[in-house]
Amino acid sequence: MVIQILFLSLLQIFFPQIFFLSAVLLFYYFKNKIKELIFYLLIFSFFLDFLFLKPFGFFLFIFSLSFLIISFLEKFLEYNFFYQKLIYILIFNFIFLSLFFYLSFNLNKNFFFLIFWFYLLINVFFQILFFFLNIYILNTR
Amino acid sequence: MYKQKIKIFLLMSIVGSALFLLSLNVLAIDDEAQIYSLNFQKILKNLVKKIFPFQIKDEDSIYKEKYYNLLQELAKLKLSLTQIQEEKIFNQKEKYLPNLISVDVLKKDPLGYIYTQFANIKEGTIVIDKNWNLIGKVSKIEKNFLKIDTLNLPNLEFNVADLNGNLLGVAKTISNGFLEVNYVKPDVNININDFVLTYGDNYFPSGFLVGFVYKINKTINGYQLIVKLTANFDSEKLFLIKW
Repeated sequence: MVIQILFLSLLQIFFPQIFFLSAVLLFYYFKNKIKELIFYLLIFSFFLDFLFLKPFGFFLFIFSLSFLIISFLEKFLEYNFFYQKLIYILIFNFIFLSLFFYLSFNLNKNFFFLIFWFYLLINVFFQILFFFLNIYILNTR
Repeated sequence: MYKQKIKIFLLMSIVGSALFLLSLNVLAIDDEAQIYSLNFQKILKNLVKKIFPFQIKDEDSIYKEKYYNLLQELAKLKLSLTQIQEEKIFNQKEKYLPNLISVDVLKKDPLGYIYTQFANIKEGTIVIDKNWNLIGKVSKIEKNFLKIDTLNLPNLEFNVADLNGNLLGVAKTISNGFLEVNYVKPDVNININDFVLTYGDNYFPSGFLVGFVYKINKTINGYQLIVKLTANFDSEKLFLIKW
């Protein structure tokens, strides 16, 4: 898993449109491995701050806020099946990218531009691919 | 389980927001880490470009199709492309040539920002590429680098004109290499492939080449123009116009 994350961190530099690490964090979230989740969240949120030239704590704040909101969803919806995970992925990405765009552009008005939907599409696509690989090919449900 | 998660993420978001606000207000002066990050990313990208040279784009190929269409139009008007450049853009070159500063690009952000090496200029300095196409303006000057708002950044608004200097309307960037000019009066004489320049406002001064008309949509209020940007945002070197 460490090699996988190092590989994803390197990829992050060349494909900044895709947040590779959010897929890894969601993976730990669904597996209920809180310790690992917190460890990678702390390490890699600061790595992303460094990479995206954001103020220190920017990614920690938006990642943890997005996870906090989807934690409330657990009261109403399980995530045993793939389609349930898909709902979680969609909601997480929508909240995460909304916060990312809102705080990146410092805009008070509409920030749901074409580029926002493009980011949402490719991030969700990558995460679905990641979970498909993990669950059905590597069999790590 | 979800209660434990809520507790942990609530704590983490409080810590994150505290750090974020602190770094915004207190640690904002120190940008040493950011310049290390920019240099690190540039070195890695250059390394990959050397290993996979097919990634390097041919800058001139971008303009080939546009020039072909333009020359067809210009042949009808008995003008050549060089004449237009000389007549309309030569004045700008003469005016700004002694004040040009070239800077190396450090990073291109996919959101529309460009980070370049430091130069001793003021905020709001105009940035152009080697073909004198408008790239954007300097929005932030840090200790070691400059941050440029390019025309690929969404929701920027400024006035645009045609080659004769007639106001077309307010152009709005839409983040994908195009501009929208809404509410163009129906009596304005504009055709596809016509050049579009800045008209002059408090955002950009007049006379900089922005792009060419890509599509004209007819609406109730007149026309809507879709303008394709001609600037080369992948360029490794940009030019700043020092006032």
